[in-house]
Amino acid sequence: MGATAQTAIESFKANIYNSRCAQALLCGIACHLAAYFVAILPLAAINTSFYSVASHWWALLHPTSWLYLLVIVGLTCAMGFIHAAWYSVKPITFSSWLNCMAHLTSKHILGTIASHMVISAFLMRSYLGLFGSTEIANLFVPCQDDKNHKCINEKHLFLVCQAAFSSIFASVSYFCDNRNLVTFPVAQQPLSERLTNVLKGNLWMATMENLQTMKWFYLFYFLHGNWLCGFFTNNIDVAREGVAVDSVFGLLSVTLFLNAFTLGTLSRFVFQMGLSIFETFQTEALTLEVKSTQEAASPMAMTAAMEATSCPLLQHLAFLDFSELARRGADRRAPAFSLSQPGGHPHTFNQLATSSLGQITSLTQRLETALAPPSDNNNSPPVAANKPDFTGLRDLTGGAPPRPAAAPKRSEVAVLLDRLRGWLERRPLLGALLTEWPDSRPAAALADGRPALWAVSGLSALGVASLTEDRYGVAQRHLGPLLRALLELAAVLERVRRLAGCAGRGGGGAPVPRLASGLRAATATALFRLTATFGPHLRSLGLSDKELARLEPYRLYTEG
Amino acid sequence: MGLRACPDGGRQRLCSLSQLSPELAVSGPHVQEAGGRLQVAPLPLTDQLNVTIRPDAVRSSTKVGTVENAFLATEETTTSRLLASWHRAGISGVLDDLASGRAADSLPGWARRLVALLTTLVRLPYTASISSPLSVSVPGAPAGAVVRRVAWHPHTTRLAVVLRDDSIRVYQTQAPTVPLIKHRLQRRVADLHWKPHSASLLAVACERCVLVWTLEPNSVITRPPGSCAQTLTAPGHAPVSCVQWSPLGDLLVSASPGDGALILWNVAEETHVPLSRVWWLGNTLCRWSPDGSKVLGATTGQTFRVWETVRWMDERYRGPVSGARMTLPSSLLWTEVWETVRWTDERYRGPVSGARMTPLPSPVDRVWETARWTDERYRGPVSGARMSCACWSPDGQTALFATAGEPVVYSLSFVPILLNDSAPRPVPVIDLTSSPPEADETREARARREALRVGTEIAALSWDSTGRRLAVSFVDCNAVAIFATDLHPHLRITPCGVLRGSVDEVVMDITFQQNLQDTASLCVVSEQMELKQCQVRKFRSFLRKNNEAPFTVKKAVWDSALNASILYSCETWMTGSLKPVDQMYQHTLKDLVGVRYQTPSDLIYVETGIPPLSARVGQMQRNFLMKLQASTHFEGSPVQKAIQLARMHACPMGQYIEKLLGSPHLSSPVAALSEAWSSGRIQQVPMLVSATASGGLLGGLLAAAPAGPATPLRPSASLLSPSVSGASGLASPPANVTGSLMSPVEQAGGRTPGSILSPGGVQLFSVNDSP
Repeated sequence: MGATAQTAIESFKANIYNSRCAQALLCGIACHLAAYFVAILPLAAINTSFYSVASHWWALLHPTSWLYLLVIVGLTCAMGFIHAAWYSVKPITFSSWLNCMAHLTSKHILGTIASHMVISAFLMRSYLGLFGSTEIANLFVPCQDDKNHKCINEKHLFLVCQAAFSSIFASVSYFCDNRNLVTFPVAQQPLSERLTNVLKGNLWMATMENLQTMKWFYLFYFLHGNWLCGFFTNNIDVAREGVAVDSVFGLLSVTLFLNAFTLGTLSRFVFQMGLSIFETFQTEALTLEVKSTQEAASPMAMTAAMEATSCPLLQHLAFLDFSELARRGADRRAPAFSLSQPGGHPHTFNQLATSSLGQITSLTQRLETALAPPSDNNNSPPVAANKPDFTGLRDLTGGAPPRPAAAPKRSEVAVLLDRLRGWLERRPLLGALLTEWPDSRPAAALADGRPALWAVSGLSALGVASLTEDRYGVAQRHLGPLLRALLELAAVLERVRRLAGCAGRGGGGAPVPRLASGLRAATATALFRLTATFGPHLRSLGLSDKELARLEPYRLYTEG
Repeated sequence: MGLRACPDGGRQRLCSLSQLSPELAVSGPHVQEAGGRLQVAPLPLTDQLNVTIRPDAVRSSTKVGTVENAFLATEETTTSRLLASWHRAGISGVLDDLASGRAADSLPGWARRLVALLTTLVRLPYTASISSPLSVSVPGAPAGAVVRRVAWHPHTTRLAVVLRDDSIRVYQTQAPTVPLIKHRLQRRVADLHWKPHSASLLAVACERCVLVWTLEPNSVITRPPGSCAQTLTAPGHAPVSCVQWSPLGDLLVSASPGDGALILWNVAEETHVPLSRVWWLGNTLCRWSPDGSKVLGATTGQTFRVWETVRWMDERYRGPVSGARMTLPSSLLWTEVWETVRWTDERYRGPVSGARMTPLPSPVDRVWETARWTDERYRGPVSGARMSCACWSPDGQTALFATAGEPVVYSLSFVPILLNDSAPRPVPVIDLTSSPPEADETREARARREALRVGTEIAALSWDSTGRRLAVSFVDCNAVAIFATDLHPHLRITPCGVLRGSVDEVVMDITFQQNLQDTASLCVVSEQMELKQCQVRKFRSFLRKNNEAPFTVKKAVWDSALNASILYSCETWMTGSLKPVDQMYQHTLKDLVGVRYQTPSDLIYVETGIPPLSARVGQMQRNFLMKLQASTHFEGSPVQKAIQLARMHACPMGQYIEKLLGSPHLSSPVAALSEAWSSGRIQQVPMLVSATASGGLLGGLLAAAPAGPATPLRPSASLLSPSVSGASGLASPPANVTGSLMSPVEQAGGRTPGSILSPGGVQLFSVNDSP
């Protein structure tokens, strides 16, 4: 990564990233408060009556309410900062269950899960305090027998513990189920429309997930509720009275269930909406200057941004803009085919093509390495797999990308450890934990293949457009290498497909199979377009006979 | 707008067929255009697909019809019926059942009104589409059409054909096989489209989803498995009426009358986003411009929208915010609406000064609800009419469209004109209204008018890839109007001719072959119908339009209009095969009763009291011969001589006449049924009983059937009396059963119980709804 790329990153963070983060934070806070005030209505219906809704709204003017509101705003900001630190543009892949467990039990992630628990518990406490219902608002209430003594409000405790418990599930899903993945939209719609589109889905997801976790928490509280209450009654001078919530009758309370359902869903919904808002703001397309790094007036030119490997978000946005050149008019593409002055060199197209071809060939090599037999893998550089790459953390620290480690020299101890591992893998239960999933290595190699996908579509679009728009022939030199790279990529993707057993269909819900399917489609489309456009001239591109023979089915539209 | 409709007509005069000479209305299997004139081609073109589909090779879709009407209603709890409705058609099915089913009678008045209101709300997006025959089905396609839709591959000579049974066949030049595509979700196929820059992907718009088939070009598999299909579903996005790939092939857009949003799919990654939703309208049509810069979406209402595809902007109602006001004078509301014009460039930069108000010329009423260039909404030119079809010019700068109910083609041009800052607006460019007959019309003038007469409603528009020819087809019409077009410097449209099929043809679909560079080949899919089939179509049309008419009226029309036509001169058919006419007879009879075609015909004969065709024709022939013999001129006539010779030599004709004259009177259906029993044709009934729900009448036939085990019937449905159920000794029908069958529909005007009576009036068995 050169100095221009570093400048582009700094410019991006100063002018765009921070601004978008601030906007997302403000939008998140507004969304959070709006969701709470909407949820007041069912809360009031559950706990008191509709008549008291007005009193709840009136109570918002009380300074105590302001404090709770401030706490809610602060906790929203804390959640936003945590997500800004842990978001990623690359999906997480695991090689085995053990790898997944090891990932979850790392100290950073455990700390984050704990932070989520604390934030959720405080958030629930603030909801209850702001709502102000006497039945569930406070942890300690005057005892009914003796007003001078305080008793523990078990319903309050139940709801706060449920929020903390639910956040564990949400955090595990966040780190293991790619909830922290920032996905780029199918179409660049306006922000308001994108947020409207995700609203319904997020509400449904929050409701379902909350119901799922509630059943486990009910069981948990039934078993350990006494211990939780005992913690307060033993250490603080409070008493328990009435029907215990951790009993069967206590847990069957309809009011308690409705409160837990409403507030739990609200908490989940706010968390999910926060992720969606961040994603919506950060994936808004940039329109970068299509000029070589030497000529660009803006420090954030497309050519420089495509080299910004230490800021994957900027790199993704640059390649996204590059792929959108196909959709834009000829005016937007014209600078790519222009010559730099003085000298009349095609620096712009050279830099664009070099960056794009680099992405394509790099992905091809990583996939070939991942598909090679394990014996060969020992001497080859390991795929940057199985190690989640959190873009946000890297952005915060400004660190360089992890370099491929040099091939370690295998000692006798390592050989012994391998043998031990092999022996353990053959054990019935341990084997399930230790055995490496067969497609884990290609999946890890494919995980950061999104820029390559955009590079394929963008470069092929420029190649096709060069037939009519390239007045100086700047693109011709790159057509041969591009077709060669696409053929190699198509071949290796076909091997990945056979390994994964996808049988030509788009993958299920996981992001990596979907990405692989998208890559296959983009590569095939690019080959069809280029061969159809340059069909009569393919022999002039310096391709071998074997490569020409492989291109022939694409030219004749007989390739499936 | 820089638009000139006709070269000689100037800007104000619309292009019409009246400028054509009648010689330009040509017909023939192969027609070519030379020098701007249509003429019959002597030979078929080379490299042409020869596609022949036999109608009898295609079954009707069993998924569309319902078997409920074929059987007597059974007792069923309300809960189970509502559950069945829920499984079959979701919430709308439940509401329909509550609103119109038997449960409606037990509901109080307020509940019925509430259900009706809910039904209206739930089905609001469908309302416009249901009231129109164009809805989800193929425009202009009758229900019985063998071919419903075709789609050319954009790069190869490959044609996908949607058949009546919702299967798809793919034809290809020099291909060893013709793949037949079926899928359990492939129902009510409304549209299909090949993916550009791909050899194998075909998107199919189905009732519940979009199916994307991967069809290997070199595969020899004739029946691709279901695993070759990718299913795309979105909540509430059904039924899908239109699919279109983007010109780059990376995105797919689909429209559904049940969904207010067009859905944009990334098929490879199985992700989708809705485009700005309109809650109260569904979408019927979507068309991607060939340059990929715009998407046109037609709704079930008058409004249609155009998106630009870079930012997919939705700025429809920002007029008041940005300062540009839209004023609707009360006197002009919905009839003449003012437009708010504001010019912005491709990227939104906020309001541009100079917004002004311009009245649109009357009498064309249109709403221009737009604040900026992108994602504009237009209101169709005719009140209450929605866009029925549309196409884009090859350069993506002009869209042509037609609305339902009028034969006028409108143009929407996006070509920026210097010194003209107004936004694009629809302009009528072609008027295809047929001229009315004049009082003192000469024979030549009438012939000219008839030669150039086309339909009253446009069904499809197709523009060839060179932008030089435009084809227009019409609903329920055998004509295709061809126009020569020129896009530069501005749109010019000149009538070229009328391609007319034979009288018994109806044009189903038109599409230009897309892989031709310099020439154009128009593929016209027409439904070949015999003249008698035209009567069948007319009768089906009558049934559709008069669905609520009493059965007796429908039967009278069937007898007097249809049968009189299809049985015309049947007295002379003698040993000729009745099969072609019998099929029409049986099908229309089942249409009359409202059951699907798979229902056994014998059941229908018994249920309606109508004799089979063979009996009917035989009776007419017998009457004819008896009358002939009784005439005074018969003796010594050549006919008598011929009949005598035939009977003497016992040739087939003679045997037939002998049998005819010696057979008893067969006018009653029970006699015909008796004949059917004796011939063993009734044996098929038990098998069908076991395959479908049971009913009392079926049970009776089962008991009388000569073979086959007695299929157990549900107690609640089988209402045979024990004595009759035990009378399985009726291995063959009693020879003296010549009693009359009281037609149940004639008795009570509905599917109510019927009975077969013995000659002495003893009831053999009865069929009743109530136990």
